[in-house]
This record gives sequence, structure tokens and C-alpha cells, in this order.
Amino acid sequence: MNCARARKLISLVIDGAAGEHQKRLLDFHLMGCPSCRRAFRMSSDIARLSHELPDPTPPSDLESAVRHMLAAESARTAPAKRLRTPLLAIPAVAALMVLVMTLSPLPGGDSGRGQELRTVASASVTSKVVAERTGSKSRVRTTPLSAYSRQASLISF
Amino acid sequence: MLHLVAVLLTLSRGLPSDMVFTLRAEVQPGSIELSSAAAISPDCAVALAVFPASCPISVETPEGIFQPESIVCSPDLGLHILFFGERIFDASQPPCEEAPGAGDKLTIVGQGLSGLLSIEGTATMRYPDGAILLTAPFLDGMMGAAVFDSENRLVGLITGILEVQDGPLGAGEEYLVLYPSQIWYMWAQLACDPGLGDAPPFGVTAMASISFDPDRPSGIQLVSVAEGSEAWRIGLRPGDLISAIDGHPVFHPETLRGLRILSCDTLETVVWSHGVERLVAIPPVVTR
Repeated sequence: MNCARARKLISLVIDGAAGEHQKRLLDFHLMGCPSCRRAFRMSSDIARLSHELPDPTPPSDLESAVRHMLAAESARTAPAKRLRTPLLAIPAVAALMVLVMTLSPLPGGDSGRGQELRTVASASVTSKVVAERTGSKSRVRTTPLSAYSRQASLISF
Repeated sequence: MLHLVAVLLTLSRGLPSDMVFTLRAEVQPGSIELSSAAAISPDCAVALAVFPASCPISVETPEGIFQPESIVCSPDLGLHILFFGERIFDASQPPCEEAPGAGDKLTIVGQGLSGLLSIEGTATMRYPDGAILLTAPFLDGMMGAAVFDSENRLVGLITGILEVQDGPLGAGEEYLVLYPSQIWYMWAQLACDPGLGDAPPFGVTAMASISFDPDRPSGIQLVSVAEGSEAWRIGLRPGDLISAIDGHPVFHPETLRGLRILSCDTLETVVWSHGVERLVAIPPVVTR
């Protein structure tokens, strides 16, 4: 397995979406590839840190802000380019909501680029928490079949 | 006649699946990992140390779910002995003193998500550290699975998979790894009966030594020998490597420690040092 495929498997493993065979393949690759081992450690650390962040709270004026932006956007767009059905408007509304959530400061929080990153990370945490609560990830598993290794320490008797 | 006795002995041991039980370890809060525990006495089981002994552990039998009173761990052997303080296993047997040979058919009983799995495997060869490589399907639940020979004797636990460059099946083949009870049965016996462990010190510090060099054996490497100790008096010296005891290859210090305490007879050891082999007799512990 090459490093490009290993990086894809790292994402799957971190997300808990990898099968046992894929985990074994990755384990074997990581044993012999320091670069991918570093990448795996970094991804694991990021995932762990993101779990420690609090859930984001949307600002109270989110809905009105989105409606405002939609109205402004509609007024600015030429009639020929307007969305023709309400169904087609749904993706645009969703995209704007994500944009607003991403750029809105958290209550009591500071502002700036650090805050933006924090909010994005929190949003991804929320989706993970929801996934776990809805049972989309198994919490019971069998011990994975891993590469054989044995430690040798000194024994006195 | 001998065949009949062997058949009766096999039947009396019970089915392999009767001696393997579901082990649940809460490796993280809310995260359960299922593995196997093999009953080696009515109140003791052996399991692969794939989880920390400090995490909540329970074993499920037809009579209920039981938590061990205590756990003895050997990081070197990679095993846990679970004590329950009461008879909870209807079927059990002590681990076998013999290792399977190449070509032996084996039954592997592991723990799948929906219950016990039983598959067939074949012993192919011995790895330099004493482990035995098996050809068998790689299935979920095989990590820590208990392995039984054709006479339903517990011959070890599955401890992982290994890719061997020069295997009998070709380069780069992967095998299931069986860590045979021949290496650890005496450790398990001592762990199950702590009263047996009271023995005068032998006077050595040793470690497992694995050799891939055909001119040098694997074995128990003596790192230091205390002057004036029993080991010193019988002629063992730092740098000696004990490669066999009573005609059987040995790989781990726990084997020597256990055999010295449990054996009633003198142990005949083969000691390798700087390319020369010599025989050293280790007397039994006299205080027992």
C-alpha cells in the first residue's frame, strides 16, 4: 500500500468508518512508514482535541440574519438568475446558515481568526456527537486483530 | 487400546467452545471491547492482555456475568489471569504442556460480535521466539482466541498476525500467531496458586532472547548471576543462554522460573555460551 492510500485510510480510521481489514492494512503500513505514523498521530490529536471543545450555540438572531441576507441577495440578483422554485432555494439557505454559523462569534467569546477556527471545529464536533447519540457508530467492538509483537523485559528470580 | 484411551480423554475434556467465554472490557467509558477468556480452572481464566487490567472487566457465562476478584498480568507474556474467587466455569482445563507441531490441525475459538466463532487452522512452523504460525482465515474476533488441538487440549492463545518473508507458503505470507501454552502454562499455574510461588531465589536476572541466526539459538539469556547464589553454584554465569530444558526448547524466563518451582525432578538444561553448548543440572526446590 502506498502513502496516498494510507492517508485515505487514516481519515477513515479516525472517523471510525474503517473496516477491520482496512485497519490491518493501515497498521502494517504504519509499522514501516514514519511519515504516515506522524500523520496518523497528528490526525488522532486533532480528533481528540476537537472532542474537548464545547458545542457551539447559534446566535439568537441567526434566523433573522439569514432571512435578511436572502432578501438582500434576491434584490441584488437579476430576475433571470433567480431561483425558480422553493426547493432549489434549500441548498442556498443551508449554505448561508453554515456561513453565518461559521462567521458568528460565540457568546462571550473573543473574535478574530482563532475564534473562526474554533467555531468550525465545534461544528464538526456537534455532528460527531449527534452521530454517536443516534447510534450511527458502534460502541461495542471485538478486539482488532493487530500485528504480532512481544516485549522482552528483565525478570529476576 | 491406546486410541480408545485417547478418545475417552478427549471426550472427558469437553468441547473447546464450552471452555471459552465472552470477556467484556470497558476500555474507555461507554466503549466495550469483546474478547475471549479460556477457563483453566473452575475459578480462573486466561485472556490475552489486550486491555489494561485496571479497566472494568467482566466474563459472561451461561449462569451470568461475573467480575474477577483480582487479575495477575505478565506484560512479557502478554497475558492476564483472571481470578473469580468462586466456581463459575462448569468446563475448564489447565493449559497444555506441549506445543502443536507443524501440520497439526487446530480449532480456534474466538469472540465475534454476535457470539463465539470456531474455525479450523493448521500449525505451519515455529517462530524464533517460540510462537507458532498458523494458516487460518483472518476473522474479526480472532485476537485472543483460544486454540485447541485435536484432543481438545488448550494449546495457546492467538496473539496477532505476522508477515513472514521466508515462510513455507511463500514470501510475504501472513499468519495467525499462536503463543503456545507450552511457554506459559507454568506461569499460569503459579498465578492460579500463589502458595506455590514461595521459593528461595535462584539468583539470576534474565530475559527472552530471540535469534534469527542459525548458528545461535533462541532462549533465556542470563544477564546477571548473583555470586554465591544457587545459579552460581551450579555453574551458570552472566552471558549464558539456556536454550532447552529436559529436551524441549525454551524461550522465556518465566518458563525456567515456573519449572524450577513446579518440577519435582532435576531439570536438565542445555546452556549455550560463545558457540559452545554444555549441560547444567538445576536441582528441584527443596523447601516445597
